[in-house]
Amino acid sequence: MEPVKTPFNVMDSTQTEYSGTLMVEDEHELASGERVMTLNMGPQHPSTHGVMRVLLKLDGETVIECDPMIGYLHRGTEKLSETKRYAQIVPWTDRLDYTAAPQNNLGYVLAVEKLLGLNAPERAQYWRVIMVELSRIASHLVWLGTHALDIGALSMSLYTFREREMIMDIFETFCGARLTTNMMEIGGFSRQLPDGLIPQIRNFLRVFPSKLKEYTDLLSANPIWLARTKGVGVITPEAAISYSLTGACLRGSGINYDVRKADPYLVYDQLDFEVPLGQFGDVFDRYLVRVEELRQAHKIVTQALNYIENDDRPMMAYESAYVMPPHMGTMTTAEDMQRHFVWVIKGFSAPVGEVYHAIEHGKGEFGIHIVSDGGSMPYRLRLRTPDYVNLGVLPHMAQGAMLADMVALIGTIDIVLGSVDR
Amino acid sequence: MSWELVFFAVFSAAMLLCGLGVVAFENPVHSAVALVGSFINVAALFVMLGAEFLGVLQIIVYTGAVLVLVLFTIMLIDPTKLPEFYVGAPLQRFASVVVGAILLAEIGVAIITRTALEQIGPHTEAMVQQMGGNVQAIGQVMLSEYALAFEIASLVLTVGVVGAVVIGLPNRMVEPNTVTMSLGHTRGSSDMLAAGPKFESPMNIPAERYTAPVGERTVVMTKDPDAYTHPGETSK
Amino acid sequence: MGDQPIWITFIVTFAIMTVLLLSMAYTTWYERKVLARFQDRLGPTRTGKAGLMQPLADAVKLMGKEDLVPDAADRNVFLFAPLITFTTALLSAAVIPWGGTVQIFGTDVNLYPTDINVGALFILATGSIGVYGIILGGWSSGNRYSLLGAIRSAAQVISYELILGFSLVGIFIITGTMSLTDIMFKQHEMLSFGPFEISNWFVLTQPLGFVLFVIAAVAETNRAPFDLPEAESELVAGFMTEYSAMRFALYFLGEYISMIIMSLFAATLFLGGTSGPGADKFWGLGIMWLVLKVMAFLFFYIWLRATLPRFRFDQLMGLAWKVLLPLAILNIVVTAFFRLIGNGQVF
Repeated sequence: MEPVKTPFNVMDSTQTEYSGTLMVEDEHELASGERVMTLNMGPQHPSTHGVMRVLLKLDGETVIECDPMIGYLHRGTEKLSETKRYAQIVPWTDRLDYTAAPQNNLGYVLAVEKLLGLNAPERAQYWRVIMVELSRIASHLVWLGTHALDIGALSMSLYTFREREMIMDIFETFCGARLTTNMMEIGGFSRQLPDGLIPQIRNFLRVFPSKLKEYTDLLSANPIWLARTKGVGVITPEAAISYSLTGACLRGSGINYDVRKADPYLVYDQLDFEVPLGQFGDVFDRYLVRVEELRQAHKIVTQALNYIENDDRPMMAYESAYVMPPHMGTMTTAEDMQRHFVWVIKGFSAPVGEVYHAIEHGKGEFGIHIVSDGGSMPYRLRLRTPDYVNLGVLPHMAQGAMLADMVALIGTIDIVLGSVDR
Repeated sequence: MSWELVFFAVFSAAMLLCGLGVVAFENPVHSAVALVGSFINVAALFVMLGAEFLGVLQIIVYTGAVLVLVLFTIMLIDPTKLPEFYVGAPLQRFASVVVGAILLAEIGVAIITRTALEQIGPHTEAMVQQMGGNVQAIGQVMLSEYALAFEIASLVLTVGVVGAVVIGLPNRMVEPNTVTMSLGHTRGSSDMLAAGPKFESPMNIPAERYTAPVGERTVVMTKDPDAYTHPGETSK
Repeated sequence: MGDQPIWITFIVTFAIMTVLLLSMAYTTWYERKVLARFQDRLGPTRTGKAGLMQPLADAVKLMGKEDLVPDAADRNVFLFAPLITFTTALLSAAVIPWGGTVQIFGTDVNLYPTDINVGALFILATGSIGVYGIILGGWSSGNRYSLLGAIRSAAQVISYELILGFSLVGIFIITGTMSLTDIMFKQHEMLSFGPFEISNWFVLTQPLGFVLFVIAAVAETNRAPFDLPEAESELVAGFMTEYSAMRFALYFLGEYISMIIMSLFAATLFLGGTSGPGADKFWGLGIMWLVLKVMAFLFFYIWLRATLPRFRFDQLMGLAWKVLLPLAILNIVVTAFFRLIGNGQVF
């Protein structure tokens, strides 16, 4: 039997640039006397944080040109959303940045609430803050572990995942799921808080500062870590703005922009926290900023929990017609049963209009733009995922970097391909 | 027939075969590998002669350093783009024959002086034993009798290293792309706007790329979303 | 240290090889366990008690895999390269002494395969041949990651072998010999400071040399934080990317043997080899001390791997040529100076 022919011929130097394993022989002349080697990093590569592909042109080990290619994890979330009712889209947002599902949920839910003119009760807002900040800690811990692993600090990933596990357990107690939580609902939370949740969060809050100190002890003064991160991947403030960066990538360059402060949502204006800003805009500054954000998130969760611990007001805006009636009402009264029936079968008809709502996601500004034509499904839903935009700065940072820096640079942007490719 | 003769025969045969491989292989990397084999066998012959030090040096210096660098270079060359060796310039071919003949004659002369004419050098076996061994003898001779030659050789090598560094100095990297300012960001600002707010941030280094700032590093903490964004209004 | 019948040498060599190959297998277990403890894990537990059969299971798995040769590979070189690394690593054990001449069943036995007068250099020499396994393996794979790994390795090994060699010169100056047996027995002498008696380990007289040696040894064996040739985060698996099955294992085992040999080498040169309480009375005790020292070194290797990030290539080279090499030369000069004072040739 004839062997199956591959669509490209590996030995053909005109094609190898885009084939999997590249032949050594296909180096070509760039300029007089300069030779470049094309290196295809990914999509199956341990350090591209998923299925991203980076096409590198190398002079020795120095990167001349870098071309990130995305789309290997594209699932068409935006288009799919046009065929789903508003409440059904929440689980889809879980799959965007799967390391921080509650934050994606929140961004979407807040956008819909803005469209509906709905406000969740104060208690629900505080619980949203608690869950989102815990999720921010979890997402930053994944970043810290994988970033350190990329640079070669093997043990960090296991330490950070140990603490992340505690947060996952909290999520599991709270909503039953660990990774893709589908946690937020339009209008608040419809279920009671489970027993034992608050002691569990308290336990995490008690343990976490010492663990955070453990991480910084291991990295912040480590000469090799400093050598690998200081002065590497500098983004000037001008460049940061010009590339439209958000999150730690922007704040690492010293630009003071945090959606929680600049355009407060939920109850962030009532909480006391600070925004860390970097001074040099290199990989190390972004590391410092994110570590400080971990501390601030811990502070926010503590405050919010202290405030809301002994509160037992309702968590759902049941007075609104857009919200599914309480279970008890559905079972006992005819009106609620009708409302419930309509809500489940048809969904609610949102007002005609267009809204954009942004939240400060762990990775930057996570914005959702909804266009509603008055139906029960969005006419158009547009996701502004932070890491997709942030990834654009990679070629800028990579010029003149060493090959070994590439992994540090990819790590410092903190991308999750589910969110980049959507 | 003593074992020594057998081993000698094996090692020298292997050495010659490898030497043949060096010139016979078409792929330059294979030639280099054959040269490695040849060098190792030469080292083995040195050891059989009781010159362990020379044998080990042969491996460390030639096999371990020189040939690695040669291989290093060859590996990066596209074998299809090499010039054709066998139809080289006739002058080169002629010169190679002459130089080869001269080298062979030199070896022959050395062998004849040592054996047929029985003019043995000063370092006989007894002499070496008296000095405390091969290594010690070489050390003594190198740094006393041939000290000047030794120093000159090291000077030549230093000149070679400096020359290589000068030639190999990388030309400076191209400047990174100049950045443009965006006009539409909520908290950013632009120089392009005539009366726009002047951009300000606590980031206090110029856009230097390849220098790592030294010293302790901290982050600036701010509670105010308007800090560091407008002129005249720095940290509150 | 007299001559002995060749059959005794064969028995000793066979015993040492067996011990070395077994300990190599169990070094993988040791590394897994220690690393796991560093990382708050348990390590292997399912294969036998405390995972003790793990090396066996690994061997079975690796032998069962397909020995794959990529299309783009230079077939002969690709198949041959792992053997170089493995055998040269094993060869270094020939000059490392596990004791002096002892009486076993009334026969004089030398507890070392051979004692050549350039033993220390012999280990450096085998190390410099071993790098060919990496270079050729990386080149012949026909993969760019492998090639980059091979190039990195070539540059790294040349640089660090220089420092490895230079860090030993101090000892050669003190002892006046390059034979490992002689160097080891020099350290069995005791130094007395009033009531205290301590062994004359060279780590006391050559502390700088010891530090340089350890750093260079870690780099020479391609271990973290100098594991650039196989840096998995950027080069996938470096020169080993295309290897599979037993050929992959040969590289892997070669690395572990080099680790053990380097530990033995360091223990012999700087920590007195078999010297320790009671070692002069019974040779078995001396071997025990040597094994303990080697295990301490291996622990240090693993500790580094668990703690430190990886160097960048230019930083690695900068460290070698701008920091370590001047220090090594300084060490030589200072040692030579003190030796001259000791000889009475100065002052």
